[in-house]
Amino acid sequence: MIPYPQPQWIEKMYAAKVGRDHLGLGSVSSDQILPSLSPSINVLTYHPRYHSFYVFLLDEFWQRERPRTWSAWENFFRPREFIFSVGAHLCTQPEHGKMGKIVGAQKTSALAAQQLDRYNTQTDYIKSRQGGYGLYYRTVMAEMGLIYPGGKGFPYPIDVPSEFGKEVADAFRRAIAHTDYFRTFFGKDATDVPLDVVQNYIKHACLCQLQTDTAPDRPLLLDAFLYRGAKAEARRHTFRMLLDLVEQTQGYAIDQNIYRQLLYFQKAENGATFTPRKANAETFRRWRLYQAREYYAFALNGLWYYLCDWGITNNGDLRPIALSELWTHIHQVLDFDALAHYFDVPSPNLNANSGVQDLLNWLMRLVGANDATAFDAACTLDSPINEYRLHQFAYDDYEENPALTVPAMITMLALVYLRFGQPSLWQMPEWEISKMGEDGRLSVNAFIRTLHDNLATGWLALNDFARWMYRDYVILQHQLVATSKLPDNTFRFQREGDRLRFFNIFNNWQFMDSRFDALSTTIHELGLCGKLEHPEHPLSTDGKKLLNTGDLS
Amino acid sequence: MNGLKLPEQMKGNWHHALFVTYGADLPFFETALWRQFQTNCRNKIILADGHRLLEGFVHYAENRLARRVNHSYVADGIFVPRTAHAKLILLTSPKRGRLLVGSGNLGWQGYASGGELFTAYDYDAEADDGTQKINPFLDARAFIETLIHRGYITGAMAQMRLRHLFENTRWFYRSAVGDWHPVRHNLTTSFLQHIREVIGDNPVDELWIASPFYDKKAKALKRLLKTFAPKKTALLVQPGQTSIDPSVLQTVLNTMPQCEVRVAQRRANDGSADNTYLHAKFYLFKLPKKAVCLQGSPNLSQVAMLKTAPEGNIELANLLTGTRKAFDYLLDALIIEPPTRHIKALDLRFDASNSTPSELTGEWRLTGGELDDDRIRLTYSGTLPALVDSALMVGSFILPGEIATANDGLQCTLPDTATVDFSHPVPVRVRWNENGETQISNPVFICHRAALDAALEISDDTQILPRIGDLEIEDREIEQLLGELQSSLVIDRRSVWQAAGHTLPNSSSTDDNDDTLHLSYADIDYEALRQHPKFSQYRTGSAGTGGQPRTRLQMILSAITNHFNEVLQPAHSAPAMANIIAALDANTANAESEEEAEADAEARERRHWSQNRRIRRILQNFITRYLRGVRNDDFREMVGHEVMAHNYIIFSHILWRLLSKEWASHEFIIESFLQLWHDFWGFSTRNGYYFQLPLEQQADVLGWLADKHTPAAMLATVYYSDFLVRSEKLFDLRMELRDFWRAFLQYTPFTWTEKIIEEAWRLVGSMESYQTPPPAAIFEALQQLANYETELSLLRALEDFQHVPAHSCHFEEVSIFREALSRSATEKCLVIKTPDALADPAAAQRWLRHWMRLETLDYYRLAAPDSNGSAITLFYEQTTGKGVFWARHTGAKPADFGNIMPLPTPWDDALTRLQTLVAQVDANLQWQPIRISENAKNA
Repeated sequence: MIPYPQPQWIEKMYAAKVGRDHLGLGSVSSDQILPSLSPSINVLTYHPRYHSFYVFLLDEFWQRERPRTWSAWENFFRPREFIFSVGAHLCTQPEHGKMGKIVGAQKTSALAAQQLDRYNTQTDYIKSRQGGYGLYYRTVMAEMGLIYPGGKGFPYPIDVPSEFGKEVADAFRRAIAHTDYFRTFFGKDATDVPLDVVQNYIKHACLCQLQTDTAPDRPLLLDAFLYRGAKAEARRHTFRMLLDLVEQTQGYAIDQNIYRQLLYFQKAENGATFTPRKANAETFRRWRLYQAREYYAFALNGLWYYLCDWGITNNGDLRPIALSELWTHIHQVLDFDALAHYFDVPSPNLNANSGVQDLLNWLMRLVGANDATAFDAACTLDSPINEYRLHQFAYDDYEENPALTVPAMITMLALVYLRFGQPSLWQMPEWEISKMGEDGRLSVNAFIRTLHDNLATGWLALNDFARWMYRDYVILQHQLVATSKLPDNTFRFQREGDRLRFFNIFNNWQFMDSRFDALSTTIHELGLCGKLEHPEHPLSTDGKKLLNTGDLS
Repeated sequence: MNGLKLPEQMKGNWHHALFVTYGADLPFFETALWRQFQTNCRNKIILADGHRLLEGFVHYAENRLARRVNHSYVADGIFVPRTAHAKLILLTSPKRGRLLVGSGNLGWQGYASGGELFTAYDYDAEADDGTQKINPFLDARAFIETLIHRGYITGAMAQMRLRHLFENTRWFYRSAVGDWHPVRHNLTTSFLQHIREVIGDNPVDELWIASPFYDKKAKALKRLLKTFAPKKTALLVQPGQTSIDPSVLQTVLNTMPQCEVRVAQRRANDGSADNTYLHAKFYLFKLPKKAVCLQGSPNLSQVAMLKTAPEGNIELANLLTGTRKAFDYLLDALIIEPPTRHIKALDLRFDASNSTPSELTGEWRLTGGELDDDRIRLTYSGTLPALVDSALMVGSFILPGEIATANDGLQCTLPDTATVDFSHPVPVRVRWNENGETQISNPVFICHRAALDAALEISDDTQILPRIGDLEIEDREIEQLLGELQSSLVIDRRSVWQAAGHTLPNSSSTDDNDDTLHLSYADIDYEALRQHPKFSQYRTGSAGTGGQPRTRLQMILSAITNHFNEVLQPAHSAPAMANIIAALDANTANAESEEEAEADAEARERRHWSQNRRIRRILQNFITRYLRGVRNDDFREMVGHEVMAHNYIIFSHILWRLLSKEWASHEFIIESFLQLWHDFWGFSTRNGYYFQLPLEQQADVLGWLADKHTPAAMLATVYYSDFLVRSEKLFDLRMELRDFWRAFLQYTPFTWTEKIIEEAWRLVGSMESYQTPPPAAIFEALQQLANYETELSLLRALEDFQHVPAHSCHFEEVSIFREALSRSATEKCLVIKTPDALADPAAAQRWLRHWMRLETLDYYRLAAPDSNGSAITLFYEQTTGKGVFWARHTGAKPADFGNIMPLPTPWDDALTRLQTLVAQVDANLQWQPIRISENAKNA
């Protein structure tokens, strides 16, 4: 404070953040749907052996006389994770192949490539004090019962291995107990570990070695992934469905994009097809509803993305723009003939004044469906307009045709409605996936039912439909979500009376991660099948057994 | 100059916060600002322009973004014919005040964009030395009271809260000093007139104008220029932003050649221009010898600058005078381009929506209301329609029952059957029938009197003080807790000084140096002091007094007791796993990419690190202050043994809990323990505070301490501290700990019991629960601590025992044949370079027995070389109990001797007693490690 009063410029605070998930739709997938489908495997927990390694470190820490503080744990943890990370880049075992998501890789990959004579364990290899454990694995390890978390509010000052965690730690210890690294260097926080010692250690410790029959921790981790934690059954069902997919897609490399296509259309652009076994049918339908939500969220995020773009283009960051101007603009860009032209199909003569039912009818005609009940089967990956093609439009041609976004995303919403707007579907147990997000995050269920009711009670113009989406699903939702994130400032526009003031900040528009990479890596490294990124990814004996019987116990 | 971090101004021990604003972004207030307030700040009032507030209510009724409005704080409108455009923040406590008058409205743009100006005034009632610092606050109070007096603030709850603010900030009723009145409003005098009064007939060399809004015909600008006839005028504009009709501006430039237009942008920290919207308004008049600056809410429009309310807006500003260059820094913070005549290129336009004042229309609308018990009262403006078939809508519910008119408002009583949920803010509307059509009024969020009263009454100490028990508090709460402790307890001479009603010397408020407080006995009214609640609560102790509310001390002591009780229960409770995962998820599960996860983690760690550094400093100051009090004779005598004993209990507990935290280094905490023990007990010299007390007071103290499990806590603390100093290799500290432990064993006034041993074990278990050592292992560690020596300390101790000069002894390694092993071995040999040290077998055996007392070996060897180089040697095989003494220089033969026992230590007896009890406890407990409960595992 200055000594005598003078005017002061205020400091700029709460700087605008890029943020993500500006409508809060992705969090429904990441916080509710995916945890129900693949509990305890999240986007960044790729490698199951990290569970063994981290619980082993924790166990070793507790066996030593050290202060039970986070900083003492970090001082113990970091030198050992560093060597593990360097080692994982030096591994030459045949199972290793091309391996991503090694914690600390940003620094350790380069260090490993240099093949230094010795590696100093005090090397600062990752910013986060608790490395990959704190960043990614701690939560899922707690969920699977490998650790008891510690710290504020818990009985222990820091995390503790559970009884089962101790068994896993013991098993990992057996895998590496005979190595020079463990016997000579492991006990020291600050030391130089010779290259050959690291190489020898990692031969037994590496993430890739879990899949071998000799890995002492593999049976325990299979037990953990298939049977441990509150939602193990759901995880097991997903593994089984994935193994079904693995079996049916031999000869085709599968990545996340192909996986989404197989889930939604049961066919992919690379020729792979997938018809789930009866035992996996419900799990498959749940995953398909997840993907339906992804398209639904993609459409709403597209409308939001376009609004932000339009607002900035029209200097909405300098002067707020009246909502009436937006409504006029939306009316203008609802040109479905232009959309038809883009997809090279006959013009439907639909515009803002047409009815939503007209749009639905056109889409049914396009795929030759006589009524809505036949639509889902008729609208395939090969159809002239489908969700996948509309999604591709966003990637390929947004810059050239930004205004096409509004009719394109309205069409995507209409497609989702046509597929899932049959009340009989809403009675199925898997429909609970579509209900997720009802606590203020715009569930698919609420959207479909409300649209269904509106269509049943009268004529709904496309213009009104688009306004409804923008008003309640985009503008209000963004306000709600950005407000909830304060003091982080993620506003892209703020309502000032009946006007919107825009903020010129980078935006992106894409799917959230489906966890496919983490899931496929997990089943591979647990020794259930080959790598799905390879065309040949055979099932192992355990994989076949799990697929056929649903059980490995 | 660093910018003013406006949201952070809310931090501090404020009791009241008043915001006067044009627009109010309530979600911003409830999220970004709310977290800045301490719990003490319970009276929060927002007064916004009435029309804008009601507009906001329409949106909040739709989106429910305002989740605390008129439940936890009061938000009411200032209803005037034009616009209530003043912006003010007033923060007060019984002792201090902070007033900020500026240009920003309550919201992100107004408080955090970088494009606003505020002037901050501070007042310290205790340090008031008769300066004029009180004046801005008195003027702010007068401004608010005039608004009430004129009927612009009609809400009963808002008026009540404003009264509460002033009445509980007694210094608001002090008299103004001198004629310095920088805070000005236009309720009676226009700003043009205010400026004229200050400038008088002085010529104006330069006039710099920053105003984002002008009136349509720029009449205020023309009037200003005409009135003061500046030799040069610079209008600072932002392309595309400043609201002014470009053709009007062009006309002004054409007719007034001394006037120029210059583009201004905010200068970023790196010196570049940034695109911050400049909403600040200031008018800088540079006279030949001084400068006058008007800065605040008024734009350069007729209603703001030329008129008074109610014909004009309500505006508030700072009118400041300084040297000619005193305000140049305002311009330096901008990048100002050379004058331009190309007005068209600036993309300026007159924005009617922002500058046209809201006219008072005859339209009927609700303006506010209140729920008091089962009665709802609503206020309105405009002409009341005939409320045919009227009903109250609360959210989407329609309440049965007629709405009656009463006292210029509407009123209805909630029927008993009404199931409306008023536990959170809900929009209230009136529905009626007019010409067969249903009409619905605008929504208002009415004041929930019970919730607001509760918010005002919530006792902060009931929230934070009891948490001293387990100290399970968030990092940001530790500062608040320490503040509460400081204000609750008498911990040093400073506390006494303050309780005696004295103002602290200025120097001490910053450096916390107790020595600067020259506490004079003559200044102290002992009787009054003893009656002070801070002191009298110690006499009440922890027992409570009938129906009287608990004192803060009682809360603290009871929290400590509760914590002990929880720890000493055999079964631990643990949070359900689902909650655990949810807590962890908040930190880890949401990232989509490694980069994002690492960036999130880095940001968290940076925040954590910076917060921890601050906490360390605060804690260190707090503990140091307390320790200084404990060793201060004046303080001891003044406060007496009740205060000293209870403070000891509290601070020992805090230090113990801190050992499990990472807010302070273990080294610092253990050193503090040692200091505390030294000053309070002083076992080694028996001159600590306790030993100086009369016997009956000693008995009191022991009773209070035993009641709070102090003996067990001390045992546990010594054990756990030893574990930490060993782990962290703090060998010097271990030596100090050992010395304390030895003295404690010898002179403890406590009688060891099995119960104490078991309690100590459980306390250790609460820290070391992974592999809780059994009581026997704890005893073994304590025994090792008592006997702990390093090589050097052992040598010095031996020299001390034998009364030989320091450094007379050292160890050497010798290679000898050991019969007991039937082989050669390298053993250490104590070499004593003092003549006659081993003169005879008896003297030599005394050396041996001393050495044996300090170190347990299976073989001892001593040598004392004489001036001829030959040595007197003694060796002793512990395993066989046989030794040899050989004074070679005398020509005597080696003399055998038998079993030798180490000399007893003064603490042996105490250790033996402890050992017996420990064995009994071990047997009783059938020892089991303390584990997380099965419930937690299965949850």
